[in-house]
Amino acid sequence: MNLVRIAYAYARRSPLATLLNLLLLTLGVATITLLLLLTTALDERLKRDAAAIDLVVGAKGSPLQLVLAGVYHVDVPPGNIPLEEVERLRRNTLIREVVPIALGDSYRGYHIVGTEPSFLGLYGARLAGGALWSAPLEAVLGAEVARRSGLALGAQFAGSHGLVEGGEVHADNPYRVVGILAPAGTVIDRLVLTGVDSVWKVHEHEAQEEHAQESTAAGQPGSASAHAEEPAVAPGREVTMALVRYSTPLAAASLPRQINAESSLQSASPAYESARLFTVFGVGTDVIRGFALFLIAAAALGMFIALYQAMEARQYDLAIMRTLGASRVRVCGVLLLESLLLSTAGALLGVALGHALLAAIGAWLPAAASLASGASTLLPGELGVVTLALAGGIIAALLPAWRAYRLDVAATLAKG
Amino acid sequence: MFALNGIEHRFGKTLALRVPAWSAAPGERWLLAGPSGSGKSTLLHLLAGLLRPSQGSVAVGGQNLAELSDTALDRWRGRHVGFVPQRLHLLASLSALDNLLLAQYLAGARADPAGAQAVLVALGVGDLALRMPDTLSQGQAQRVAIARAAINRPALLLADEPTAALDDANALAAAGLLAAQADAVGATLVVASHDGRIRDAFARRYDLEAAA
Repeated sequence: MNLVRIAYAYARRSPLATLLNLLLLTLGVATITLLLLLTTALDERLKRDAAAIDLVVGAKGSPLQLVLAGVYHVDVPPGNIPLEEVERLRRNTLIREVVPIALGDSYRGYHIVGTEPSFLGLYGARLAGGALWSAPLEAVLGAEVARRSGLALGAQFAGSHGLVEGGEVHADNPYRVVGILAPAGTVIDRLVLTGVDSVWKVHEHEAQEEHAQESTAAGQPGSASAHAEEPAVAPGREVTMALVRYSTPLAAASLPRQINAESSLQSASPAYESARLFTVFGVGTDVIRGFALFLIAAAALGMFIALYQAMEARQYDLAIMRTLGASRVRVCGVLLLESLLLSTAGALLGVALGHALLAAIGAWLPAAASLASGASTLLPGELGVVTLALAGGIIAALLPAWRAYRLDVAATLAKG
Repeated sequence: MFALNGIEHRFGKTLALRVPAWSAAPGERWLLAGPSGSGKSTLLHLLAGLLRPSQGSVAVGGQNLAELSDTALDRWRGRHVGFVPQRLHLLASLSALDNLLLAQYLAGARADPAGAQAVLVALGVGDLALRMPDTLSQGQAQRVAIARAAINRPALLLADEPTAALDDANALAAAGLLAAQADAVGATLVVASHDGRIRDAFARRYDLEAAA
């Protein structure tokens, strides 16, 4: 017999109320934990993907779209820019490195990026096998693309037009896999890389066909916007955008303004745009966090009500415990402990559930798989969540414990 | 065993109890008699150290209770006093046996399930050890409550109206059990009762007058 057993016996005495409060607390803690894990993973991912890219330069349009399409590969790009502009950027002394990219095709939903070998350096990638592309229509697969598609070195595949699955397949210009990348933990894992000239080659032929199609489909609604979404690289030397690394931090002050002033180009900073993005959905996470805090508060209130209601019946038990030799401090300890046991269980279950949910999300949604890598590691912030739950438990027990401390044993026994 | 001197106890301004002098030797069995409201329960609470008298002194086993701090008094009570309250108040969340183990734990005694089981057997409820209190009859619950009061071998065994809820046969049996347990552990027994059925079961009697 000890205080923990006594507290446990009381919790078991009213299983429904105990379970309900445990459930509320677990859900609240799990929600906050999941949110914490997801936002941390997302924030890390966004930072890691953009770590080496100081500036994205593309056609006039939304800077956020430039960054989403050019750095994170989650949006369709705006129009193209002439290759001469890229060459002009290369001559700028404020710029250390310019990496052009040509987008527009995909393979099974994975974007095909026409670029230069220095692209690998931007995302911290290296070859796991094979070699980089050296001729048109040679492709290097990101680690996840290779794993999910099952394509091996030497295999052939056809890209399809557009960045979503189901576009027209370029069956007459198949790519050949010449290299496979090691997992880098960045978006490059989900990209197919090739030379810029491959993209040109695929679309040279395409552009003529499309031209013919367009004349027959003229006047059909949506054809103009479809064209904007699928920036086919024209035979003229064009790329979709250029990823830029500064040679000096001072460039950040003058270069974007300088580029934007030029009529045809637009620049966007990944750091600035992703921070802006975070503030947008930060409101959403604040709402969810508020809801989770509400759940924890409801659980604490439930524990308080359960303990306080039980006080009426419990006062005799407490009086007996005093009669049997328990001090005031000890009887209040029973109540505090009961509440603490429940909140500890809720906190631990909640943290475990949060991690399990993240792992489940990663298993069900391939796109979120890389975010779920945090499912097996504990964050310092989770300690704060557990502390919050325990504090709720203690606060819930304070008033009942105070009443237990003040209990008049003789009067209680005399009452009946 | 105990000695009360010049006791007066008031609740607010109302005088609830007056005991000029009363003492008992070790092993004696006392009936504390008097009509309802005469302060029998209050006197038991004073003897158990659950109340401190407004005036006068309570000494039990040579210990003047006034000299003990509140916490020390709680500890002293757990070790030296066994108390059977009128409504028994077995802890409903704990089994009969666990109620006894609770008494051992709170008194700071070593956990001794075998000893606890033996006391239950001695009181004829050994086979009910794992039952929850709300499944016991009044008579069975009372035996468990007596076992709980006796488990730590107290020097002073107190019972408050132990027969009020019992029929004639059980009333006499209960008085007998209390006496037997007091003998078994060598305790001085004080039973507060206004029940005429058990009047003859005790050799000594202290009468309280109805408070003025």
